[in-house]
Amino acid sequence: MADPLLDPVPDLGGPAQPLLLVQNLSRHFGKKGSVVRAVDGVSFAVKKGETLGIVGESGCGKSTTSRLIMGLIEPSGGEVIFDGEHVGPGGMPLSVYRRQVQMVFQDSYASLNPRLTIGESIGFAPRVHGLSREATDARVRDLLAAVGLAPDQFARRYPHELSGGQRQRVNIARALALRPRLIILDEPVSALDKSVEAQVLNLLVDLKAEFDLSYLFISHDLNVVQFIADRVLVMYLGQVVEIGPVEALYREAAHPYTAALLASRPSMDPDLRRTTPPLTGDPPNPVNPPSGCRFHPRCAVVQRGCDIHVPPLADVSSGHLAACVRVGAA
Amino acid sequence: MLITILRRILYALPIALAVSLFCFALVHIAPGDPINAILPPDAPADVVDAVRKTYGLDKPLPVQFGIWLWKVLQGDLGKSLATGRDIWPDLSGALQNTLTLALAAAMIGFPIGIVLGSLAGAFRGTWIDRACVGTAVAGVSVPHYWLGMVMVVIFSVTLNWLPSMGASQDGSGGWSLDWEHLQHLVLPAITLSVIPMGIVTRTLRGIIGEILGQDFITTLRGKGLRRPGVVVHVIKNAAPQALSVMGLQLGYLMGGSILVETVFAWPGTGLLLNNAIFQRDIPVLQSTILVLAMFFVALNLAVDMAQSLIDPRMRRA
Amino acid sequence: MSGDLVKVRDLAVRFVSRDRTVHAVRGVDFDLAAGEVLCILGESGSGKSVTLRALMRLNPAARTLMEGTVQVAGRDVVAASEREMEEIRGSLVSMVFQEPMTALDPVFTIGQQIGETVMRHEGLSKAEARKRALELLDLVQIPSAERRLAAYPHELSGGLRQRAMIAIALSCRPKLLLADEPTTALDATVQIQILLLLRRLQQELGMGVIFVTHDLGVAGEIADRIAVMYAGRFVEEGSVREVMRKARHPYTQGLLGATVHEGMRGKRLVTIAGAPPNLETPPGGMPPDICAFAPRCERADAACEQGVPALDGAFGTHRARCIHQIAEAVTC
Ligand SMILES: Nc1ncnc2c1ncn2[C@@H]1O[C@H](COP(=O)(O)OP(=O)(O)O)[C@@H](O)[C@H]1O
Ligand SMILES: Nc1ncnc2c1ncn2[C@@H]1O[C@H](COP(=O)(O)OP(=O)(O)O)[C@@H](O)[C@H]1O
Ligand SMILES: [Mg+2]
Ligand SMILES: [Mg+2]
Repeated sequence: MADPLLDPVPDLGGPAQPLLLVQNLSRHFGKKGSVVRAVDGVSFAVKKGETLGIVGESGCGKSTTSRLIMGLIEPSGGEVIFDGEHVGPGGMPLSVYRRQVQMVFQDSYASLNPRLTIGESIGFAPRVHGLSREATDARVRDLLAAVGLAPDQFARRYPHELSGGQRQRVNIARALALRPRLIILDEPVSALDKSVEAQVLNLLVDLKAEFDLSYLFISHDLNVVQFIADRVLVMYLGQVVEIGPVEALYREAAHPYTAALLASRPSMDPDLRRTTPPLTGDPPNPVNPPSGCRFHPRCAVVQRGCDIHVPPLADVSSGHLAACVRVGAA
Repeated sequence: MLITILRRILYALPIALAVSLFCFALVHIAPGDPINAILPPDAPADVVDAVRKTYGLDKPLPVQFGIWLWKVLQGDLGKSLATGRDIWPDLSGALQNTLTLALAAAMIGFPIGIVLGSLAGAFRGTWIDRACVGTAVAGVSVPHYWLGMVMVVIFSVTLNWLPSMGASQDGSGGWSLDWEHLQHLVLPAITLSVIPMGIVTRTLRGIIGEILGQDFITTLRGKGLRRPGVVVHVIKNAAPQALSVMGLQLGYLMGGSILVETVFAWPGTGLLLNNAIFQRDIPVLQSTILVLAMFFVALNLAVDMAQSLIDPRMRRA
Repeated sequence: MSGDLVKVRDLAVRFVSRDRTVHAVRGVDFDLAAGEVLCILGESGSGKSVTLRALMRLNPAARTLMEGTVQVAGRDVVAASEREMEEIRGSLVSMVFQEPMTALDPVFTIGQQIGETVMRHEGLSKAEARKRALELLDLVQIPSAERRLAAYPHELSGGLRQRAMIAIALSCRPKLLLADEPTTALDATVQIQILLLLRRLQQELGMGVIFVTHDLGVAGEIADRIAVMYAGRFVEEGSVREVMRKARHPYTQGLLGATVHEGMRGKRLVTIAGAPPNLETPPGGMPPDICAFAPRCERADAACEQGVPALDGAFGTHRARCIHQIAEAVTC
């Protein structure tokens, strides 16, 4: 194919080079006196071909992180490196970057233009990037088929004529339209019914293999993340408290917060009902976060000094890190 | 709470200042030397200088503004060019008349609007709704002066029930609550009330309809509250928005009654403004606009404070 | 089955407007004993909320046609006058909603909203109502209750708001508590706290609870019995263990397979093809009433199109509305 738009941007740094590197990313909202430290010094990597899951209670900064990575809002500090290249002035131009990173949101309806047909929505970006009308039509049909929507039936419909699950498929197809290498999915299945959620999750697994994608998958549902992610990052009040391979992290959570999150999942077995809640109180507000370890006021195993010293991320085992004094000591 | 009120007042001050600056500037943005507004063009030079001095027009503009504002604050609005009399006594009389008319129109239009709007909102989609909305649309679309004239023709000329002109029999400025004065008020007040009636109806219909559709209404019914109990909640939820519409409408009634005052020869600010414009009486124009605008600012402030008193969510900013 | 608290027979609810009729509930039967927790499980649009509201006759009166028998503590909900319903609501039966933010009146304090219920039903004075409100906030474990009484809903966090909502619902010691997805809008860490609180209160106060959810995990935490709802009908009913471990209806089995849980990594999730039926009357009138799940069912055959299968009690209290039902162990 001669058309460069039909192919993904080639890999530059080789398989060992992380696809996305986030370094010390911060974003503070508000003015003096009541600063919301929505994201506060977050660093992580998404390797080529992997799915990194991000979990945490609402308000911990998951969506802000994703919007920072997409460049939808300006960071207060830190940088984003894509395939070895700094994104922004002096490095990879945003236009080149945005072709390679796409996003899918929770609200499937709000993210589609109600006045465009499904086909027009999906074909919009390729057309803007100069793909011919015929080539765009062909691509739209391919993409609709790829996400399991019969092109003849759906291309001409409008968003309100679709169910939530179908709309989310359209959003995924649209995200794929420019052949991105990374897709950020912010709670993509949270608004869907269970049976539809399963369909979309299966689809995401298939598409990842078919289009050679990497995912950044944000969810508050730990079961879903366990199903789809290779590695998991746990956020608390704008910071990373634990990151590691999904098996290790779910088997042996090193941070008491991760352990509490895992224990908060309702069990499907009536004989294994909980009797005490793993955490009390609501997720705190990132205005004036607690001193020291931010989790210490809710921590069940809090020690002396937790309210003073900020624990760094320390190795639990290879590739598994947690920010808790008990990890460093043990 | 006190802080909220103080803050609102603080926010209103710059607006008030801007309004007075604008009124002050009225004289100076009028084409030519402001002195021409006071003196005939062929006045001798020494007279011009003398007048310039007495009016302080030889001083720099900011100083002039300061002096003018200081006088205004003490109730000294200057003299009318047309009559040579102090403006304040005439203006205050006219203001009183306009306020009387506006309040009368509000007392007719607002309750009717509230009742019609609430009925329409509560019975959306039924014939009651359609009847109320129809009345509202008619009220908003009928031209003021036309309605005024029709009423004069019917009630004054044909039936001879009510007077058609002025505020009282003898034309004296004062107003008191007796039939002698009330009968003069009836026709202009009704004429003036139809537009706010229509607008309040339409707004309340929207507000009430929306509130009744909200989840907490189901909760209230689920608690077993009877209709009066639920109505209390609806009223408190509707009040902030309803107040703001009515405040705005009262402001319009104060400023927007020129046509009605003209039709009924009602000696209010509208008539005053009308005359001032025709006689190029800039000081009177300036003073009247200033007082009306200040009234508007104060009204907004009052509405704002009432709203934050009722709705806790508005107390923060 | 002892139906001494709730008895529902052949409940049907239709919403009629000029241009359409929605058959939201199409024949629901169940009983609830005092002190029992029934979970109604189903996907969105299956009629769970409408069923729940029907028990208090809270569906919009002007548009709702309600048929069948609904008895709560011996009182006939279908035939009762509006006056009688107003007496029952909030005292005998009360309800907790999904979104505490919108279900509470934003311009009244928590204290006022609790107080008005007890003043309404028990004729307490303002001071007594305040005292009761304080006790109730303690009961639902809201810290610094005194201060929270004067708080407005927007000043509380999501979890505290839902606790306040529960306090309102419990204020007159109802015999029956209806909960419509009360934890769906909350974080998992808060959800489990609310579930434990509801379970404790239910046991302490001996209430019957009907709990609507779309989340199998939530049902597993709180239910004594589960009823699975599909297209306006119960398609399966049984004890929580029976339904979770030996689901009989193909829809329940699909739902269990589709729910992501531990140990499914690398496996393909079970999905249910197609979509639930539209419950509006189509232009040509209602088609013959058959098994609503048949169009999506792998087991369906011609026999499935011969009318609606009965909720079959061949297995005792575990019943399913399927002529091909087989006990199938679904591993959770
Ligand atoms: N535009 C904004 N202005 C002010 N605060 C914001 C803004 N966006 C997010 N926040 C705050 O930042 C915090 C993190 O929000 P978010 O990233 O949306 O969390 P999550 O997606 O994990 O639920 C929250 O406390 C939220 O209120
Ligand atoms: N007041 C109403 N008027 C018309 N249709 C309604 C009304 N309430 C619910 N419905 C319809 O009834 C069906 C069942 O709704 P509901 O009981 O809310 O479902 P869920 O199981 O998600 O709680 C849906 O198709 C819904 O659109
Ligand atoms: Mg988010
Ligand atoms: Mg519902």
